[in-house]
Amino acid sequence: MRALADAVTICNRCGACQAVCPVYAETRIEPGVARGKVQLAAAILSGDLPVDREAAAAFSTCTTCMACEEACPSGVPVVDIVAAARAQVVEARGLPWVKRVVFGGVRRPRVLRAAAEAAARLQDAAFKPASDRDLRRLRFPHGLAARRAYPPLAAHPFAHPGPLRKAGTGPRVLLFPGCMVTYVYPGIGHASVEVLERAGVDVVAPPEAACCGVPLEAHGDLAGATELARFQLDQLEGLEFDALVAACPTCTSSFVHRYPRLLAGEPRYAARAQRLAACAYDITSYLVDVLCVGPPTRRLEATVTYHDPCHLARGLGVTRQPRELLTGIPGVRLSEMREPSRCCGGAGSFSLAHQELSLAIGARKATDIAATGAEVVATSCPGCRMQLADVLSQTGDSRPVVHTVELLAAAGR
Amino acid sequence: MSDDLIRALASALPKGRVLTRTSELLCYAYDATASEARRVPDVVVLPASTDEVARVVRIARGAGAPVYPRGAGTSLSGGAIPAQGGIVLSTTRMDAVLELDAENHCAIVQPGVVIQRLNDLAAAHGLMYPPDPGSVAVATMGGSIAECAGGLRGLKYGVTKHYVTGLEVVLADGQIVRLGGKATKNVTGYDLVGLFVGSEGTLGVITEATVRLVPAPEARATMTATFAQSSAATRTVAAIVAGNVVPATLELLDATTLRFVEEYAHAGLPTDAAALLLIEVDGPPEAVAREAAFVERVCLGHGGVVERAADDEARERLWAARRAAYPALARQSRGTIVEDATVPRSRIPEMLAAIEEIARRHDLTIATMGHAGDGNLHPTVLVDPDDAELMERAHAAIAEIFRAAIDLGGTLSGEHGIGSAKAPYLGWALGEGGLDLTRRIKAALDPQNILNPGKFTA
Repeated sequence: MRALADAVTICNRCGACQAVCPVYAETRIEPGVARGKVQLAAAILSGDLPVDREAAAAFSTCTTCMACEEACPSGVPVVDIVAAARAQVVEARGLPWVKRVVFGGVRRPRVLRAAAEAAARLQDAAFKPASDRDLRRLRFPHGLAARRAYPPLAAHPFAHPGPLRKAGTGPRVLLFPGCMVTYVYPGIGHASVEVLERAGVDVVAPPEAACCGVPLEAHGDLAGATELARFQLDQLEGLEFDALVAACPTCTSSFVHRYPRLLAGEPRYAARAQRLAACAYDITSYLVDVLCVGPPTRRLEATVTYHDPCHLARGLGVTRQPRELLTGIPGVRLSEMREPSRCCGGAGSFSLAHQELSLAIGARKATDIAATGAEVVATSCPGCRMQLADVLSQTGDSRPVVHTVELLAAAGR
Repeated sequence: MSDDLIRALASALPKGRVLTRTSELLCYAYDATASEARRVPDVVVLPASTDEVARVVRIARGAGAPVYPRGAGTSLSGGAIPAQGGIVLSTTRMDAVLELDAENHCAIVQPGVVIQRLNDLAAAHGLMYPPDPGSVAVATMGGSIAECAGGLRGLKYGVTKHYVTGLEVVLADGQIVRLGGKATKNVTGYDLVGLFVGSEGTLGVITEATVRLVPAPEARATMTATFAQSSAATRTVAAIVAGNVVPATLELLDATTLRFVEEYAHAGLPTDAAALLLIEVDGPPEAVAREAAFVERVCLGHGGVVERAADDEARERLWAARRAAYPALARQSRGTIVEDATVPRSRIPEMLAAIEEIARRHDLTIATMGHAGDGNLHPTVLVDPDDAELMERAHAAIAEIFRAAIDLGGTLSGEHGIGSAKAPYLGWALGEGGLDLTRRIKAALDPQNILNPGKFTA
């Protein structure tokens, strides 16, 4: 709490965050923007704001896109403050029962897998196909959920036929799949394996496809998130690899930023978390910066526009590498959209908890995408991909949305 | 009183535009003024039309409740803080650019339009709206008109009051008046438009504004000059203006500011320099070339080390030092009080010396940057709001800075306004006669004292 107190006092209340906050652009009320949230955190610390459901609601309207941190003259760690405030609410009030049940499952990888597989079999009962693309809408919609279009859960979750397919002489990479790739977009996982192996890498996979813990931390479940951090380190202990690579920037930033922080005070884990942080890469960065891959052989005649995921662009500073990979594909022309690193409004479960807001933020992105005239939308995050596909479908825009590695894989076949 | 008021407001405005939760009210308890305490309003309203603003003001009048108009809340003298509870009237939902009249070089905007957005739209016609406060990317037209904001281009282009030709205002009795218009020359009766520009929300709520636009300059030249003595820098400023060259930007950063900027931005600035001038001239290419050569000669003649931007990239690099000044200071301390005492240009050397002496005597770090060309300096006091003893010294120093400015023929505020932060000193600048006139104007227009009470008219 002391760290939080210091963090909130460095806010000068200048209000520069209003220019970049995607939530504020829609709501135009001060509780929506970073300055307001930081002041609310200060009010919790001073006792002026009780830690209750209302406080929880106030801190829930943030996509953690980090645009405010980038624009902040004082360097206020807004996302950390929001996370700490959410954790404070959970500590004081406990998790709501729905989240308790869901996160209880997410914390146990086997339960998560079983639940996802069962859901994949049952989903036809709950969803009907959306007309315009491979998305579905709820059959028995309630409220705004009616408008959202989700991709189906994968009938066959991503499972790399590892742990080690072939013993080669190349660098050995642990491909961390993450929940979205495992259960929603296994194609991103297969494409990742394909481009890595094509570059002469030996790909290994973790024993269990467990959650990185971000969804729990985002809802203030710090204990659950820390438990998953330990689980990940334990299950990777003893595996040999030169680099840990993920196609989901939120997962990657867990290894790069979150685990060292969450486990800093735990002697058993702190040093290991640091070591993993030093060898963890987003897949596009690993391909370009470490492997220095050459362009693929096949031509793909297409105009592509690229959306920068928040946690990749601002979280990990990776913007050049995916563009290099895309423009390296013979025949691909990059048509930049306006504000490519502006948040798409997905932000994981934010898109469910604040559907109207999420769709409004996404609608701006859909407009910016349409204005490029590009035939294909590329991004480097499965969460963004899901949101972009949804918001494009809301306007009847049938442009395909793919992960950068999927285009790269296709161009090498 | 409060419950009835909220009920009345809720029935007068569409659903969702009356905020009453603690978590919402706490977010309207402040502006960007570090020295002013938070004050929580009873209710926040988000009107979307002039008519809705008028309804709110009429309800407030009936209830005797204060109304605090608020744009982006970036004011630097406490102007937007609800000093006595009551209603915060946020104009952020009134954000339409109603007309961009390129033929008449003007635009009609609602108060919630962000200044930068107007500029972006004007740029498409080769025009610009010159007032550019540091908060230009977020500040609203309504707020900047109410505060008469200035900015970096003040020397050549003037400030907000030079660009407002028409206003629609909701008065304290709920009446809607339309003043002025598109005509750039207008001496029809009192200058009623001018009365409201800079009135800080104490006389009426601005609900629409007609502003002048000017052709954007075709060309510009940018340079920095660093000096071993600050007196050389200020003599340079005087010599440039004496040569009848009026740069669009003529900014000064003192030694303390430069040291922090270099620590923060590693811009390659000489840390042993006593002052830096950032100078930009703009206009037709031939004039720019001639003026830039003159400015460069003057800088060199006063012992300055000159760096001139050859292209846009180099220009950005030179501007980076100025842009980094506020972030650099903000990161040095837990709080910054940015003042804007202003003196006639020729008195800048004395003012700088006075600020240095005051800082030394109170054992404070005061970094000064500012618009040297128009005498509008920003002595910035590094503070810690939780350190009562330090804050006391800071306030004492600030009072002395104001005194020094006035003794040099200057004034309390060049562009931040008086608000609550400088209200105690207003008499120094206005005298008894000026204070009395101010109070009589306020009493005539707002006899119940419901519009932004507790500020400089109190």
